[in-house]
Amino acid sequence: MEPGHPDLELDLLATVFDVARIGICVIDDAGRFARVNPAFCALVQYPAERLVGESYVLCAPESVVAVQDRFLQAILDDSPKIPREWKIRRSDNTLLDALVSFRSLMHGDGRRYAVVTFSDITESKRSNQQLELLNRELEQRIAERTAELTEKIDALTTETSNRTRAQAELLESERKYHRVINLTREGFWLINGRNETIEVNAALCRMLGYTEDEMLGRTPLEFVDDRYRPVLEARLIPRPIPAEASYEVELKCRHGGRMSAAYNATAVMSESGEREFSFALITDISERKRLETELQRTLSERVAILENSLVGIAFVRTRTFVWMNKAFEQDMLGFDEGELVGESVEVVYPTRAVYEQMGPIVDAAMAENGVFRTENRVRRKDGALIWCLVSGRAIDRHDVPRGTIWTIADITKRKEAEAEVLQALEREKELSELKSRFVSMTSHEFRTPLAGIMSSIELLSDYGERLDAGERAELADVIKSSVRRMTQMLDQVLLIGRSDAGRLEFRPQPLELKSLVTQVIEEVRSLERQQAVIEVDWRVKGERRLLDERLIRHILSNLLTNAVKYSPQGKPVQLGIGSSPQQVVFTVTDRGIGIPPEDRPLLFQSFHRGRNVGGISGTGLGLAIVKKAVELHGGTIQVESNLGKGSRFRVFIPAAVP
Amino acid sequence: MTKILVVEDDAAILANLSRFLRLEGFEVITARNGAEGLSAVGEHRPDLVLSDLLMPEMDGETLLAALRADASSADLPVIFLTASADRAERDAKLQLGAADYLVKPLDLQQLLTAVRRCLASA
Repeated sequence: MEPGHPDLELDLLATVFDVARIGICVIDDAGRFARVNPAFCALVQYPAERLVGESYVLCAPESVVAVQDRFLQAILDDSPKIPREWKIRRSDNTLLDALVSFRSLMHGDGRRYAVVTFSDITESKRSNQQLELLNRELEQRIAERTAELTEKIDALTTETSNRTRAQAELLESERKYHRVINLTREGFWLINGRNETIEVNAALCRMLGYTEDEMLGRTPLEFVDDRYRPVLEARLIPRPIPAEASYEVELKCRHGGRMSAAYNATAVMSESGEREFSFALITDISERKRLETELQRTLSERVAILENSLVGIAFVRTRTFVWMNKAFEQDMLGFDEGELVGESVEVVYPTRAVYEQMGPIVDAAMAENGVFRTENRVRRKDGALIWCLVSGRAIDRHDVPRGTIWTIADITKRKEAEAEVLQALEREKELSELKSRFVSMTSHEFRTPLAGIMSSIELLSDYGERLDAGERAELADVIKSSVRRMTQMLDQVLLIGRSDAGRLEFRPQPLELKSLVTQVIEEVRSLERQQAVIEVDWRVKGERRLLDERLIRHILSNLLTNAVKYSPQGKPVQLGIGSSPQQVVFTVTDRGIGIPPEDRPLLFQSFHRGRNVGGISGTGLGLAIVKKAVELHGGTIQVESNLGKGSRFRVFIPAAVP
Repeated sequence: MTKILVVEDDAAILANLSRFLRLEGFEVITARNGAEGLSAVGEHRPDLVLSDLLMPEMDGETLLAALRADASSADLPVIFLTASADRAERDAKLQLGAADYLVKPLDLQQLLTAVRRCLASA
């Protein structure tokens, strides 16, 4: 066929139009289908008759329907803005996807027409879509998977780097640990679950004299002195219980020596309860052992010293006994062994008051010098008080609360001796005073009557012829009374002597008081040269009483003699005699020189004379005799006196009616 | 006649001494204690005083001191009659200004010698 033949061309085109599987339609400028091909009809599922003359909108989707005119116009204008993929509405309202191409034509009648071709790409679109979906899905899955994998890789990478870091740290830590292990002076022994040595440090090697290699794989027991093996064996055999134990052992060194060591073992258990490994720390305790022995020896020595000490020694802290030696606790203070430990020191103070009082004093002394000394009494367990020399020394004077050592030495004997000496001295002094009083008394008192005798005799012998009888008689009297006076004094001395020696006796007899009293008064009057005035106030009922005549005589004559002697001439002396059924009372009152208060306590002492006696003679024995006589008779004596005014003596004598 | 004052509290001794001195030709004034003695000196103006030491009212020492304090009697010789055998004590009395001392019991001849000696040196 030749190309270009118009009928062939038309037939070809018509045939193409009819057989093409592409839907073709021609739309006029009113939007109506002018021609449609079978393929198009098949696409839209409308027969041709239905379509021709129908608006294209019939097959357009909603979106196009809304803008149909503009759309149409756009087609007719060949606008490039129209997409090349359209959706077509089929008769059943379903939508198809079609690939579209169009061109507008100017026909001979002057009208525009659009030729539009449709390729159903629904399937392919769907396939495409599906493919796309699948693609996307695949892509997604790939992405996911990739992400997953990336994650995994990241994780792995992190883990790897962590692990690397951990390893590095571990390495570093191991290095440090090794440094520590090898720098420490303690021996370090690492043992596995089978008791084999896995590691030892430098110190241990040094201690035992072996190299690490020599020790690896061997059990610690091999290095332990036989004596200590049994104990360790019991412990080193694996046990279910995680064990920590500490022992003092002796380890065998390379060159045969032994090393005292503290073996400190710790077992580390696995989760299943089996012993994973254990390690031991070994400390060289040789020096400590040596010191311990030394200390023990020193302690034994010290204990021996303390226990042998003759003085009591105690260690006190915060006023409480911590320890003391036997001498202190048992020998000196009578406590049982250990009884004082923990007790307050108050227990050995004489009283609580002293305990409280001494506290601050001791503290002050300790703070100042760290020492304190005193002589004081200490209380024994049985309450007895003994005199002790007490000496305390703070252990550390700058830290007194740390404690104080106290020693006590019993000075009871010394104190007693001192007291005895003082007493003896006192007695000696008394005696000496007594003696000197006696001496001065006798010296004066005897010389006077002797002088009287001497002068009388000299006168009589040298001048006798020139004296008349009366004068010679006077001289004789002087001699007689002088002798009598001396005799009396001697009697007094002898009497005192006898009573001092306990040789004076009490011999009561039924006695007629009145005549005795009268006798005594007469004697006194005759002996004393003064004209003594003695007034008697007699108030006795019944005159016979059980009395010792001599003692009563001594009492009365001495009291009356004194009264007369120490009164100025002419002043009367009063003697009162009273009685009750059981006793007799003598009262002697004078208006003489009186007794000075200072002499009152010494009034009845032998040879003591009042300081106000002046030249009045007297032995100083009168009242001493009276007192002894009164006492022997079982009576009492009372004195009242006013210096310069007078004195009154009252004697109460038990005197039953016979 | 030479006047001697005897001051002594013991009556017997006073009597004997006075008797003796009178027999020897002296005029004798007596006093029972130091106070009496002092007034007696003022009243009778003796040439010599014989005095006991221990007396009531005023003892011998005080009497001596009183006499020495008074210009009119400052040179009056005083002989003490002492019962004390203590030499040191006796010497002390001498220091006070007594002319002599004699120990009881008196030896009358010794007394006479002492009296004459004191009167001679006065």
